[in-house]
Amino acid sequence: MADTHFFDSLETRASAQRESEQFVLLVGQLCHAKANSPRYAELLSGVDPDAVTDRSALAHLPVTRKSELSQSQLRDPPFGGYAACEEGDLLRVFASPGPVFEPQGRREDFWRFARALHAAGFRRGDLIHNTFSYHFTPAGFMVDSGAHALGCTVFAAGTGQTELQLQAIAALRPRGYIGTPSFLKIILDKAAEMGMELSSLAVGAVSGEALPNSLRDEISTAGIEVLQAYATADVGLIAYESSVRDGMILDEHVIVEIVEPGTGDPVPEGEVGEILVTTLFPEYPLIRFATGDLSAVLAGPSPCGRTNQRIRGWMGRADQSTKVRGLFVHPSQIMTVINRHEGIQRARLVVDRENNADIMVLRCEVDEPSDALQEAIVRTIRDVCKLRASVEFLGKGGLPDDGKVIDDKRPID
Amino acid sequence: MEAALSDEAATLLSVNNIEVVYDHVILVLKGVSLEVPEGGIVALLGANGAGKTTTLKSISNLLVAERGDITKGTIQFKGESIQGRSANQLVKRGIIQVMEGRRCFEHLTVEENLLTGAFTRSDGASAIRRDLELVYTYFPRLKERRNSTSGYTSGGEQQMTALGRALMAKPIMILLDEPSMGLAPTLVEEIFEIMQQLNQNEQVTFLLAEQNTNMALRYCRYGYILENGRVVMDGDANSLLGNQDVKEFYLGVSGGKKKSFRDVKHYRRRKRWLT
Repeated sequence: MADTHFFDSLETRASAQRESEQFVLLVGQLCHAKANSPRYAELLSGVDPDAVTDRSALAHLPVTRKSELSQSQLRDPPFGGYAACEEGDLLRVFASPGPVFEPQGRREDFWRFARALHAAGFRRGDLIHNTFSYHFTPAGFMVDSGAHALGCTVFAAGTGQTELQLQAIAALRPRGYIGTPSFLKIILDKAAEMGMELSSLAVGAVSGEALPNSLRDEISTAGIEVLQAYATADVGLIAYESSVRDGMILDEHVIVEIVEPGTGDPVPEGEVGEILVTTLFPEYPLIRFATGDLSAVLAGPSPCGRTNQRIRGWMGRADQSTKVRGLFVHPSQIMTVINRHEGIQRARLVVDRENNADIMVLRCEVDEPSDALQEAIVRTIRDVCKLRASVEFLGKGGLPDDGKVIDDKRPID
Repeated sequence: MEAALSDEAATLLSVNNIEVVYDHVILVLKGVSLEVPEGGIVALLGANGAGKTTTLKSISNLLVAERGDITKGTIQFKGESIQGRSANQLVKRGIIQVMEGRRCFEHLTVEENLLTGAFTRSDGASAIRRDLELVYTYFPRLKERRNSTSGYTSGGEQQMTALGRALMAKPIMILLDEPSMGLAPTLVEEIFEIMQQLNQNEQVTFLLAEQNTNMALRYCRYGYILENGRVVMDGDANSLLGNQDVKEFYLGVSGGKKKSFRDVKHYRRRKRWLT
């Protein structure tokens, strides 16, 4: 069955089969990590790998946090004892961001990106214009190595120099674009401004930032179908979109859990939580690595035929989540409140403490403040967050532009 | 299964629930169990990629060369565990694999190739000479071509050389991987005939991996069908030949109306090692 629709037969395994096969590999990975990664030898000292045969057993293992990773790396550079390979087994080292180092092993498609590129419509022989950066961060090489595994040819464009990028695209006529969606927009705008045509571009794989539907539509008007991939510098590919654009399908060589932020406890299926990733590749065996990103499991299989679990796209950063009067408040909930009221341009939830009681104020930038709108927002917050909050109106530009959705001002005592 | 074993002599080889992972992340065998009786000819059947070669290489310990690892399960030969023994030691114990694609030493003559098969023996030149003549009685064609460079002999002759070379090690059991590959049907038949004679006259036990299901089941007494790294069906050759699904999916005989691939049922076999 020469079906080019799927990258390999792993994508269409029955769910129970995938689960059992992944846990066979996980047991091997845990044994390997205990034996070859000094840090995991410590962290997993009381763990019997053979007993970790399902998700409930996995949920008892310690969570690996980025903060611990960077502290361990300071003590024991470059990888803090987490890597499980000989120095000669590594091809490259990256620093992304700043003080955190990541390795690249020698195996082909080390970050497993070929699967995502295949789902995005890239095929053997395609020329790809890759605008992810090739230095400091692994992003450029991540997709580069995936593209090579797929049999594509890569123009290593890197970031910036928009006019040179345009000239290269016009001359080489690549079929695919890889990079951030916002840089693609810059390229398209510049091309329009200069009257250049980039008609060779037909497919795109974008990552690194959220892709608003409006931008996707705009890119689509230019004749480029872009699909998203979700990856981090530490664990590589986590999930990817397929042509049906219905959620992001998990990669076949990671085990993903969605947990209460700040804990290792899985949330009930479908609820928003922090993404924990356990990799099955041996060189850098991160176990229950906390990405700091929020998402939720989407029920049911993808209409495209891939059977792996899907997650919703990126739903905010977990580290902005907070607990108010015993209840978690997530940025995604605030986003929901904002999306329900057209009048709100931007908003931020400020949490503070008065007389030993938590108080919440949603500060909203609105064009036309009204009592009715204020009351409606208060009701929505109560519905969405199950908490009372007051609402304060500000004019346009009243909130600082720092990406914060929840600002927890409570003093730490 | 019970019938097949009770009719035959004792179990020579027993593979119990082995799991094999390549390169740390590719799970190829997902719990394969099988038994080969002493003096038997057993076939491992299934499509490309089902795990036939991996099963053979697990037994002969040739996985290491391909970064493969048996992560679970046991393999016993004559009741003793043989895991972790080098391929070299296994040959001395009587297990030898004839690899897919013959793998003759192309620059050596046919006879030199045959003699390399006796490398692990220590019973003297005259015994080896005697066995060389024995090989030539089974493969008269090799005698004719004994001084030809192997690389210039035909595919069928190379397959005969590979099988003859294995015989020179005085094996108890030969693991024969895809002998039919790339050979004309009459030649395949000839090779299988010789396998049968060696089995009857020299008491060599065979475990054969084949995609040519029809031919294999005519010469084997028992067969295992592998699908996606698991044994999905096993039975004596006649029952498999008569099985409707085997006919349809492995013998290419359509029973009644044509089914599309989507309707193909994939077998799920109960794990008998758990009982």
